[in-house]
Amino acid sequence: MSIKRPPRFAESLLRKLLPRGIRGDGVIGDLREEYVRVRTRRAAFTANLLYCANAILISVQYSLPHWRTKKPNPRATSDQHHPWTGSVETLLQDIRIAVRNLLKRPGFTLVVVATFAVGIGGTVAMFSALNSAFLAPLPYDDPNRLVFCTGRNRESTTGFLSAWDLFDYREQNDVFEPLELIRGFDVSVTITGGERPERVTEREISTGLFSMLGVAPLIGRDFVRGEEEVEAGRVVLLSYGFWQRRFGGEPDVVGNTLMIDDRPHTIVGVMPAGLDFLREADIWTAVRRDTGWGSSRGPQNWYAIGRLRDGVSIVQAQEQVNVIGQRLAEEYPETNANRGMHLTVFRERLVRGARPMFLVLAGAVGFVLLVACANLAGLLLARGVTRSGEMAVRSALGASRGRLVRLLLTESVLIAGFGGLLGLFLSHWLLQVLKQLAPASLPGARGFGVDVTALIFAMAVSIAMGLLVGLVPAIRSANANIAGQLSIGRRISDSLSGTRLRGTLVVAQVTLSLVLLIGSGLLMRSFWQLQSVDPGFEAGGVLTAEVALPQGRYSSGVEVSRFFGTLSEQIADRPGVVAAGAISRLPIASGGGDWPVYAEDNPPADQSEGGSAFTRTVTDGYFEAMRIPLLTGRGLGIDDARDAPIVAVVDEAWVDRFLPGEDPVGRNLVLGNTQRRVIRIVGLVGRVHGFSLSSNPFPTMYFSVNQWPRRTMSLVVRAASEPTSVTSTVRNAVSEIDPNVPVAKIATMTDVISISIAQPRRTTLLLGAFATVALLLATLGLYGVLAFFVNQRTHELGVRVALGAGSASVLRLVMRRGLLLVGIGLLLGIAGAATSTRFLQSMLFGVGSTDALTFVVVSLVLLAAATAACLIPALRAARVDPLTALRAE
Amino acid sequence: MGGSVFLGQFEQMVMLTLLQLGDDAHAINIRSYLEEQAGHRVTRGALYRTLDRLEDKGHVAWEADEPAPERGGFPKRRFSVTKQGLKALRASHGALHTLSSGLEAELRGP
Repeated sequence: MSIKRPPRFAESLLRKLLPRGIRGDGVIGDLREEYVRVRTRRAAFTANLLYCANAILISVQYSLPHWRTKKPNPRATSDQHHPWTGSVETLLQDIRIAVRNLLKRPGFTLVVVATFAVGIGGTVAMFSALNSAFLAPLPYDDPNRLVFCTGRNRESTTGFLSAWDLFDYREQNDVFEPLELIRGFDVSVTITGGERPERVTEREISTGLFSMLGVAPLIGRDFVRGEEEVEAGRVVLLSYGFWQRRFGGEPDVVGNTLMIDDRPHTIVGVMPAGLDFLREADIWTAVRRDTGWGSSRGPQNWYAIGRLRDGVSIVQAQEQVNVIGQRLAEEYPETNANRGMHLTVFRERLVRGARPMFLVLAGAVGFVLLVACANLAGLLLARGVTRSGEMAVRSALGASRGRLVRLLLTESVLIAGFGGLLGLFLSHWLLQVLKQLAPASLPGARGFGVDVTALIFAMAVSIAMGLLVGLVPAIRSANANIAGQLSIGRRISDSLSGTRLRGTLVVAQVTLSLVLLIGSGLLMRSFWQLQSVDPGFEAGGVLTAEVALPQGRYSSGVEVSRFFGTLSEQIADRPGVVAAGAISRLPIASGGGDWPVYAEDNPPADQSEGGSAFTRTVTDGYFEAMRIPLLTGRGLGIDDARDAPIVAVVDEAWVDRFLPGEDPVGRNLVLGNTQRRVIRIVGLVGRVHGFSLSSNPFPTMYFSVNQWPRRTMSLVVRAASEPTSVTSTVRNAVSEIDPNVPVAKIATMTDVISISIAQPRRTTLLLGAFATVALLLATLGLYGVLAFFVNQRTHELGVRVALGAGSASVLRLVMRRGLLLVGIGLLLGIAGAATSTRFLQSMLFGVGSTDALTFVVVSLVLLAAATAACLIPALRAARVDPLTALRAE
Repeated sequence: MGGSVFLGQFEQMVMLTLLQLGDDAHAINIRSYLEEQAGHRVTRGALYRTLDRLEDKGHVAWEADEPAPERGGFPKRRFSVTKQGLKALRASHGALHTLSSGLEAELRGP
């Protein structure tokens, strides 16, 4: 095992600050030893953080007095001779004074440190996430030459291609080094032969994929080209996780047989851990040309990844695949008319889905950072004014202006440093949330974490922020007029330009917070709309579970349909169950399974222009269990036996698309594009959101399990009470029929829907949290400025009251001042939001990016918060007692 | 500094710990022993500073041990109390003893 090292930058800092020689080296050694011990018990992140904190503390505690005693300095008491010399001693002295000052006002320090932490934490988290997702190199060989190949037709460029088309592209091109296939969706398969059957995710790939990516198996070997042929034995590569889980990491598995859906596969190798290429999979099998998913030109189930040859650009490659596509279209007009292949840079494709969300969140974090900066600058400015007396004394005692500026800057950088440290914890937590938000295909998403780059970034941001928000207040304070300050005594006056500057900062905070609040308001409204979409069925009370029959034992359709028919009936008869059925693909949870189709009476003008619809196999009780209304005709039942003519039930969306405005019952549909089948429609049911709540209901056709049996079905069981109460009923019913059939993915239908909108929910929550923080900061900033204003003007207000001003007029005076700032901020914020919320467009559902209601409500919320913030100091001002105010002089 | 005969309270605690630990008196152990036995939170800076000060006074000496690999080649100091240190410790201890004689009941507490 290699020995862990503490963060280099912290250690090199220690080397600079600690005394040279064995004393300093001994301390560094001790810290290293402790670090190694901590690393054995804690995560690297915690250990690094502890080390950094200790390094800072030791530098302060140990080296400060050390310098003083080791190198007695005659100038230590008066430093006016070297205001800007970079002597460490002065710096350390400044730090000491700063620490003392900060500890004297714990409340102020806490607020400021927390504000810094929020700003820095958010920024560091976003930086780490963006860095690993969008900038850090992909963990594959020469990733910039990888391109993603998808199917193209007239409507889109993101479809799939058929396996045989891809084989032709692979053989006929000379622009790719290799071109490798990946099945467009994963299949759940059953592994048998162990103690219990297990459902795992299988991905089918062509044999050269891993070697093209430069990923070698951990043990065993990769696939070889010949294994794509039908006469070769079936082979499988295991993922690291599956190997550990099922075989306990036993290296002898290579060469063994794995029963996948009752078919023997030879295990040829195990892939390394962390290979989360596109999505996680448990096992990879090799595509076979003449059987299964890889055996046709019609169905389009594949995409590909290619590596461009040296010197070939993506544009040149696209030109060549266009020519090949043209040739295929001429050769196979039935399937390939208007079809082609579209190339995208690989990384583009990986980050595509996540980009809008990340950019929006990054923007939000940037806003929070700006609000925090404005807030801090305001606080430090006000603080500078109250400390002008102290500055005057220091200056009278001989401190130069430069030295005072330095002292104040040291203070703000120090607070920023502590804020940064706290911010690191915050960013660690935020990254966990971002990890959940990121789609699985996003590169580096699962490795999101605070690394050394992020630590350096955090330090840089902290120092920059400290200098940025501290510079102007520091210069202003240091410029204070000594004689004036000392002679006026306790009363502290503030300049007009200072007031104006603080006012501008408040306006900026209100503006930025409003933009953020409106953005998050829009997302909330959109989410609310999404949640109130009627899925087309009644989800409450339904339990779902996936049952997959192994192919070996259930090889004929009769056995499959008998199994599911009996199972649904038996479950429906049990106590506590209202109705039960099964469907081949559960709505919301899985789309796909669409087939080309048209209505016989309404054929498309051009064959290649035809549409497609979902095909779904159901058992008799499905519609009843889901409470999908039967509108006309009949449902599917016992009559639709295996040998009877095949019939279909279609839904409203199907009618809208293929037979608009007509009654479909009794009409025929034509299914498939190479081998067409004419099927009679016997019923019409309500439309269902088959794919997701946010996409429109897709045309769907239902078939009976007797006539179109499928081995994997999802049970839907409507319970009389809580849906989870029938879990064991379902398990028992399955194992009574066949104990070797696994029951997987048990969930309530409500949960299935809830999971499908988990990402928008989290995005909404996160943006809402950022907006709330911004609102809080802005309100605090506003309060601070007004409270300060009242404090400064106590004398003046006292005079006003003494001269007869009523408390109402004093209240008005203060409120007017505060609300003027808020008003300007609101106007600017609305204008800003109107121009910037369009970036949210792609994330909104059922609400426009300039939704008037959201704009108004959110502005009112902010106005209310701001009014409350103004009211407290205003009331205090109204209660000013002229006697006390004047006596204060 | 230097001139004072008596040791500070923390200095005494550190020196007593050195005597207790013997050959194990390395800075890390000293700190954890002090924290455990005296129930006293000890910051690293304060400890190193005190050890250096005691060394400057001639009460404490150290030898460098063979550094373990996890220290990355940085030296490890083993501290010990010198003869002079022992004398000073005795003096301080004795003074305390003399001053507290007759006060046993009060010092023991209720």
